[in-house]
Amino acid sequence: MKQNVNRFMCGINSFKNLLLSLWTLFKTKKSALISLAFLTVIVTMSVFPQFFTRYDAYQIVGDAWTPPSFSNPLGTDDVGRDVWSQIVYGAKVSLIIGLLSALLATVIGSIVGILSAYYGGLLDQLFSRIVEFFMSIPNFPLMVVLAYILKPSLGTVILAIAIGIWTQPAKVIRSEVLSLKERPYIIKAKLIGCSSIRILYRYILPRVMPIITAMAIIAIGWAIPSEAFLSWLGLGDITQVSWGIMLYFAFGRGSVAAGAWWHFTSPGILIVLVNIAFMNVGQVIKEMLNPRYRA
Amino acid sequence: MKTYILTRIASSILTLFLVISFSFFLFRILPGDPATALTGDPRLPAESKEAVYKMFGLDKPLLEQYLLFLVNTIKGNLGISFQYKTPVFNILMEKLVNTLILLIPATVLSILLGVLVGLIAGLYKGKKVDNLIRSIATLVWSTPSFWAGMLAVYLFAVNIRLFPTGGMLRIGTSFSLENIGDLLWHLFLPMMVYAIIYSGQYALLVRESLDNVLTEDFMMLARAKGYSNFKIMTRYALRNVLLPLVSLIGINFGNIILGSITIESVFSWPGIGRLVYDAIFYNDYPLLQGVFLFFSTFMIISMVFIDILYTYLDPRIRFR
Repeated sequence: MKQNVNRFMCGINSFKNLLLSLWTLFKTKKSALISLAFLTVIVTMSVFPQFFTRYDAYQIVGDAWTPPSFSNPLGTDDVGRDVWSQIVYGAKVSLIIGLLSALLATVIGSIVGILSAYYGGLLDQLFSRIVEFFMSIPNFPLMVVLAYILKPSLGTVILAIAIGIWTQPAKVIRSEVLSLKERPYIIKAKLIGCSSIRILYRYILPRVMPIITAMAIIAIGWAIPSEAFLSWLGLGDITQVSWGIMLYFAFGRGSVAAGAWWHFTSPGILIVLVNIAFMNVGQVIKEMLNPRYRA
Repeated sequence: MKTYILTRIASSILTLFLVISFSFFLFRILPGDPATALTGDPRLPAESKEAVYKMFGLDKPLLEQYLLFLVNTIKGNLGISFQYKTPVFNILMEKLVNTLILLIPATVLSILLGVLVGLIAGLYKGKKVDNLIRSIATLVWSTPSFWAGMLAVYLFAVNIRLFPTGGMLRIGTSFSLENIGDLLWHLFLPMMVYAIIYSGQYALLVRESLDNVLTEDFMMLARAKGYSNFKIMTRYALRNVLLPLVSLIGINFGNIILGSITIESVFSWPGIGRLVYDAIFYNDYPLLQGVFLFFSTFMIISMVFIDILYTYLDPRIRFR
């Protein structure tokens, strides 16, 4: 019992240490701190959209293409829906697609990367050829074809994006495990007869987990613009408003030609900002994990 | 060296073959059968349907279909577009010139702009100029090209009417030497948007690699020999900056293709990238597949070129 309590305390302690070291790094990098604060706001907005706007995303609140006013801070779209409300509600779909596809890509990439580096040999050859294949075909047309064939829905967009970006984490994690597996403590663990599964689970996974986390966060920064691209082409689920879907409507229904700048500027600006914010945060985590990256 | 190039070419042919196979098996995911994917559209005239049916042997067993698909694709028979009702290959060849007219100057411009700005940032590292360039490059790099295009259309074509909103030539005219001015006028905006958006990462890379080169021993030696700053920069620094740049251009073909899709779609530029938008809009699977195969082939061949170019540029590889 006491041992358990100790372990628990120890866990908290190291977790606290992790947070502390993260915090010190964030403090030294103002841009990362601002990014983190910005992302917190966006996430809060996507979880509690009703606190941020009075209208529903699809509620018609006035005339088409009315410029920004007091009641519609970002104006209305081509059928008179409130643009700000769509931004607020769209945050959720954009973030969910971004998070899930980045997560899926990182999971696939991690499994492939870890296994191929650890076992080497034929498996490594096979996996490396597969990665090379996916890297030598253009990933955006690949995403388009996949999303097209699988018919528009949130799930297919997530799958298409994940297949489009999984090779990057696979490569990074493979090279990380390659250097890790030559470390003395892994070799010793092998010598005392630990099974491969135990070594992978107890010694390798915890050591690569941080880099996996960093890769996942950076991948979100790729996934969100990819979602916007696919949705904008008309491959998204138009019943679920996202920032990409907003741009799809703005482009397809002539908001640009009508001069309704308020309809298409805000989703784009948010995509750019969220993209940069995830990049900054991912970079800081990468630096914390690996002093080599520290400038 | 020779063996390297030969293996590189052989492996790219293998990749091409895999892409075609991959594309064939994507059919299998489609609801229904491959016959629907290639001929199942009411827009296609009956005789074309029959021709495609025969060409791809759609009533034959799977293995035979696969072999026929391989042979046909290699020969350039990519099926018949539902929307245009003409062979996909002919459409691709017709649009290729238009894409090149846009992409070649735009890519060259983006590289030149990126190198120039990156060199300035690298030379004034840590100064205000550097910080400014770095922020702008990051911002530009993170901006979706289609959105930047929409913004540019709004600002310069809708708002101040300086440039046309899209297209390649005035409606109703076809290309001739007299209206080359008209072509350039239509080209300017998409080309600039493309060049600026994609210059960002070239700038960041050049800045980074210039920084690495400047601290090398041979740079110090060149300085010790008393060479002029200009000579040091052009003869020693720039050559070494070019190497990572060439490999980035190789990696970047995916983005060049993305730019072709987005910029051509926004500016209604009648090129191959625009076909992606059309194929989705008109639900035209043979066309989409054709564009996918075309872009994949383009990327695989370009990457071989870049790799071979790289071996020529880098003596460390050439003399291995």
